[in-house]
Amino acid sequence: MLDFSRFIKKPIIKEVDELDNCHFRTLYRRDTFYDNYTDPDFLCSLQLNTNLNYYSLTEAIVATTRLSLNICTCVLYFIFYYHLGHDNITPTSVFRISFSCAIVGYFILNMWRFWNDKWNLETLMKVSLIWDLKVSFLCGIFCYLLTPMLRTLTNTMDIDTVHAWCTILFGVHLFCNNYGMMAYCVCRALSTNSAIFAMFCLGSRLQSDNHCLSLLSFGVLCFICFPQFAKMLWNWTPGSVLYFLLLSGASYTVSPGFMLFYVVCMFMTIVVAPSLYVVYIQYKQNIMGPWDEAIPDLNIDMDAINRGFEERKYKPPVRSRHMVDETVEEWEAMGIGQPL
Amino acid sequence: MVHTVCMVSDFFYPNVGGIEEHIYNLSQCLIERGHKIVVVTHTYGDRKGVRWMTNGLKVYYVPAQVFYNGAILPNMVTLIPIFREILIREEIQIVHGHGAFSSLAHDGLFVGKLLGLKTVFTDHSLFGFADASAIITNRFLEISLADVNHSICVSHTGKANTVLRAKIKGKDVSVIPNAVDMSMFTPIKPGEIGPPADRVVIIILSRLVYRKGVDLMSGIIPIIIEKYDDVDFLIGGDGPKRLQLEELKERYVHRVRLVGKIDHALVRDFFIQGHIFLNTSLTEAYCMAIVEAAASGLKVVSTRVGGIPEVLPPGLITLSSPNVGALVEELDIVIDQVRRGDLADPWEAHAIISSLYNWRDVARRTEAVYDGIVSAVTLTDSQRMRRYLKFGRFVGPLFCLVLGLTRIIMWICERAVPRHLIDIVKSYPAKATYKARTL
Repeated sequence: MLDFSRFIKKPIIKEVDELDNCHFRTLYRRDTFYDNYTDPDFLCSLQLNTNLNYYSLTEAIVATTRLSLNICTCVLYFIFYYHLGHDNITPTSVFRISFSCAIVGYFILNMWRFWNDKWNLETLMKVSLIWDLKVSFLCGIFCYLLTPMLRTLTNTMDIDTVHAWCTILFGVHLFCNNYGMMAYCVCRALSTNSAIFAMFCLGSRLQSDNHCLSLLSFGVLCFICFPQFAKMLWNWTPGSVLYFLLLSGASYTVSPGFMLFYVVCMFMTIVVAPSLYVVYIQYKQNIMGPWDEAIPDLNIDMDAINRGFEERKYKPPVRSRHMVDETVEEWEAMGIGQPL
Repeated sequence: MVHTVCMVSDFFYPNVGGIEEHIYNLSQCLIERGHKIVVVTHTYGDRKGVRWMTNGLKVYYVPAQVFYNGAILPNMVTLIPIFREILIREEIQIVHGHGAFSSLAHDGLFVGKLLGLKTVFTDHSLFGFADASAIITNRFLEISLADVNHSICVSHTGKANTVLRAKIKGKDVSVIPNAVDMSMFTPIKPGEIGPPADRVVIIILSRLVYRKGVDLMSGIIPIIIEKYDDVDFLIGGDGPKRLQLEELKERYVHRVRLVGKIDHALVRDFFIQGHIFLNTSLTEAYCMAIVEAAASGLKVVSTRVGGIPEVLPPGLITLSSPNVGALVEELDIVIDQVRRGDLADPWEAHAIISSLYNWRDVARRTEAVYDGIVSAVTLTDSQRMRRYLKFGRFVGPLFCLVLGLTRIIMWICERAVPRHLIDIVKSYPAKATYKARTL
């Protein structure tokens, strides 16, 4: 039989006995200390920064490529919108650019998938090519049919309102996009949809259906196709730098002010933010201890369990005598028989 | 020394839970010891105004709208007149707030401090430091406890947590555990129908929410059921994660039974239908359910989280890491013990727990806290402001302004309803009928 003699009521009045100098951090064990006694090492279970990762400045700057690529894409879309609106480029040329970029990008993407052994040739042909052709065809038809309606979507609104609204939507797109981080704010559906909505809003301000359709096709390329392609550029810094520099020149064609805004924005993203992160991460104090909510480890051998379940599936289950289950009784009364 | 204490919390009967039970039982035992206790909580449905409970426990249900999770909107200002009136007319000396989530408790403590009364705060829960809600809540707790005379935690882990969250001194925090009404939780008596002799029944009783480890439950149950033909699960409680267990019930229809929410009065009858109590909580300051189960003669298997390892002696509890594999291993051992009958005598375990945790002992120790603070020096407004200014360049001056604003409101209240015009209520003719004082 177990010995419980040492677990007796905790006295409030100090008594002198053999445990006088021994303080237990348990509620069930006897000690003679006052309730507010604090032993010198009562915070011994405290842990600091157990899961903290330190990054070098180069690593942090390379990692910001993921965000800066998306910002660049939004800016690129706006540049095309601006020049279409001012008739600096024709819808036909935008179509040509979109189409050729799509073909080349699609080819490179599939080659990349193929060389990285992600997909084999059969999957590429069956799944990727046929399926993508179907989707592209359907999307193209629907966009073409709906363009006259989309073009009048924001006719009753002021252009400043539309621009402000689109800025917010692009902000949401950038905020919720998946940059490879597991967080509550990451929502790919919200990110893509807000970008598409912004794309429609801007497209609806153009002068003709052709202008609108060409911008939409370019938007689909930017916000639906490019994110898949961008993963290849995440760790390829020269490509991102080239993209950034080309876009700096392109943004100058809108206005010098816009170019300045773009360069400052990219400077904040690529240089200032990672530098601040690297400097301030050393001051981070993440306190961990037994009070933290445990993260349950649910890794179990489900195959073994399912195998056991399959083996038992056709055996009549052992029924507990004391467990009267109304559902089973009802089923039995209805003559349905024993459910598995 | 007789004290007049006002217990303040958002959580009180008719709501049911650990804090509610704590306040009620502690108040009853303090009344038994000759103190005067008043409880202040917010209205529950049509339960508003003043109610009297057993032994003259007076409860004020003040008109405040519930904002989130059973707590009112923290505003620090609008409840000043009603709190002032209650505290003056009841001649309160000590304001005792319960629950870090309870905005009403913090408001009550704030008004108590404005009136120069002594304040005590009991923290019943654990909180992390990492997420945004924890950072905000901890900041508010830090401000609220900056000038509280004393704090009470229900476990040593809770004390470490509160000291770190509120940045207060360790000597200002006492550890006084919760207790259980042992007369309600007795092992199975001769003549009562218990679990069948040829089967092992594992009992689970908790709110079915993420923090109680429902994911772990739904991982363990299939494994144990596939492994043993003679082990069944009896699950009590309700919550948003119930569906997860309903699916298991459909799969193992004869072996898993869900009984839904159980009245606290029937919990003991539920416990004696099993052999083993399984607790899969992911965080607990002090788990009352394991104490109740052990007092009812069950062998407890629990996760090693929060304050749980402090609560029960090793002979009555088996602890495990919060993962499915480890819990199943511990359950294997305990199931084997149950089959062999190699368990502690339930009545001996009941007697031990009765001596460890009872409300009279809790009341005695809480009374010692009251005795200790009653002679403490009351802080002046300038001293309080100096403390607030340490909170930072923004929060510090902001709370100094809030203090100034509340002082103005108090002045207006004093003008509108002067203190001498507030009637002092007659106390309930309670007397220390119990010999508790001699304990």
